[in-house]
Amino acid sequence: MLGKLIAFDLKASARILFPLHAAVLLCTLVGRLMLSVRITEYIPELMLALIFLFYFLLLVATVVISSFYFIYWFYKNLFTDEGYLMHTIPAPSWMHITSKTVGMILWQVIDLAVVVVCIFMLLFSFREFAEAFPQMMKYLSVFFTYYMDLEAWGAIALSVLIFLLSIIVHGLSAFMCIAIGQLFNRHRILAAFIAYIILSIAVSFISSFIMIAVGYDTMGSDTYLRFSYLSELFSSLVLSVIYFIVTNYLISRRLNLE
Amino acid sequence: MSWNLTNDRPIYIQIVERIQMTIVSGEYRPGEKLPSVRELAAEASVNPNTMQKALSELETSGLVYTQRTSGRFITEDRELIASTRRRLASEKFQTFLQQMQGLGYTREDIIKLTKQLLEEGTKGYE
Amino acid sequence: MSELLTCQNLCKRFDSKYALAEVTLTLQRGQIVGLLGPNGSGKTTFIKIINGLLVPTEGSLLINGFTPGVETKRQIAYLPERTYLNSWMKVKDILQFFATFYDNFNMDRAMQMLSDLRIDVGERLKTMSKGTKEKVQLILVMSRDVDLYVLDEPIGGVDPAARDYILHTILSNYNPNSTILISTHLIADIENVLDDVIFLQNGQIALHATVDEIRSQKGKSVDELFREVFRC
Repeated sequence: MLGKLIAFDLKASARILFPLHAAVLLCTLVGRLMLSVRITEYIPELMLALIFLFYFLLLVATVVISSFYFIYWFYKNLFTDEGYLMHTIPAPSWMHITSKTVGMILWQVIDLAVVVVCIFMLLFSFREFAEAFPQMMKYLSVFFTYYMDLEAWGAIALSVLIFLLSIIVHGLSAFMCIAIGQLFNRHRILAAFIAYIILSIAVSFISSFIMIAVGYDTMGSDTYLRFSYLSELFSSLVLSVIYFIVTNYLISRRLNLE
Repeated sequence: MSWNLTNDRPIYIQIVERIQMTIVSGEYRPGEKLPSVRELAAEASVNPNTMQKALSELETSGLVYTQRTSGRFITEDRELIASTRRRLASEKFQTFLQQMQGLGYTREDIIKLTKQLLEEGTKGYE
Repeated sequence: MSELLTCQNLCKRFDSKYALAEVTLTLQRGQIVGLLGPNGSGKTTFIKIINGLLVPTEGSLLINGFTPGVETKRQIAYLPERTYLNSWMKVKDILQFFATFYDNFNMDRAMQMLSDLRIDVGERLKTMSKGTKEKVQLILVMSRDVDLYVLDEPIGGVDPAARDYILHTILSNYNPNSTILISTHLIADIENVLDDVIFLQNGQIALHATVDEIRSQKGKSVDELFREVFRC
């Protein structure tokens, strides 16, 4: 059942997100070709600037839409009229939350991959990239082994984990605020926004408090780096669990469809 | 068959009467197989349980019988059909009689009037 | 078990107001039951609790012995008053959705009914009229083989011909193991189809009787009785 839900969410979101990313890749490819053929020498500077601006805006729009789409989808699919359909299929609430979270992670990863590929496509030709890549990897592993006392692969795994967890914790915090917002009969979206603001303030306040209590201002920069990585990991994990439990409770016991 | 069901009397009684009419008038022939309860209910736009109740009543009266694997059939007992017909006719006649007497007709007047109207009727609207 | 739904002292409170107060009733299998009452009488609240969309404040509601949850949702087909179909889907997409998430969805029956009503499977829901969308929703619900069908105003927004088709569909899909609960205002159109009626007033049961009992004891139709009981 979870698999079916994930497939459904991916299919629904792909309607918007797939064409968007395909368009970005296409534009990048065209731009790359233009650069290789050195057409740029024949185009007036103003137009070149405009083309670049347009491309940049497209890239930014894609990233923004990709990050916010699943939050919008969570609200629309589960708390508007569609909710009458979704909440009456034989799936428990935690499955709905998990499915939307998984979909969000997948698309964020795809989005990141696409952006990275596009940037590299524009900045380097294939030959240059093939040469530069091992060099880049060496720099990264030096960074990690020196500062984190980890082997290169452990370091990469840790970074990936932190990246994923940050998507999860931000996504779940938004989901939870939407679930809080729907408790109200009017101004549900406004209530969700306010909840999010209050949550952000509370979380940063508490984390600052903890940092001071632990004495971050007295540690050396090396220790600080290691400490901040690990604490980020730990806090994301704990917060994710809390947000998930609260959202699940709100959906299963305090659902308030209009 | 048009089912003119009114709202103020129990539905199953009206159904029993309606089916009785179709049997005595010959619309349903003796020995003919009836559609299933569900089909009849859908045709009459009534609850299948109500239709079932009506059919049970008809079974009790003998006008309809069930053969376990084949379904429901109209009785072949022509005498029963004839006697039911006479009973229904007599009921209708009693109502007619009351209504005519309500208009002030005596029995002799009623017989005279009936003959007149029937003759006029057969002449048709020429 | 012939008892499908049992409800004991069911209460639902919103802030200080009780939408349902001490509702106790039993629904048997194989019945078509009418849930009747004016707006605000608690019908929608009751239906939402059956479907697990609301949680009771007090009391219990059990379907096949289970509280509303994943097991009951498998065996309940719900037709809400509103359109719950996402407008970007085509009819065949929503058919696929039902087939995917419900293992008791009868695709052949749905296709047959759609063709009876001349609804094109490739059409987008967005472009359909309200009446057609409602017919699609009803077809989806009636194509499931479940223990309990909950229909909230199934004939409200459709023309009389479609209304007849809908009632005909409900009757021909009748099976003695399933129960159909119909909530409606259009009582006169539907009372011949009902076994039992439940009158709900201010969150409480004002009457629970069979249609025949009402007609023979009170000498009037359910529609007339309703107008009397709920006179403004």
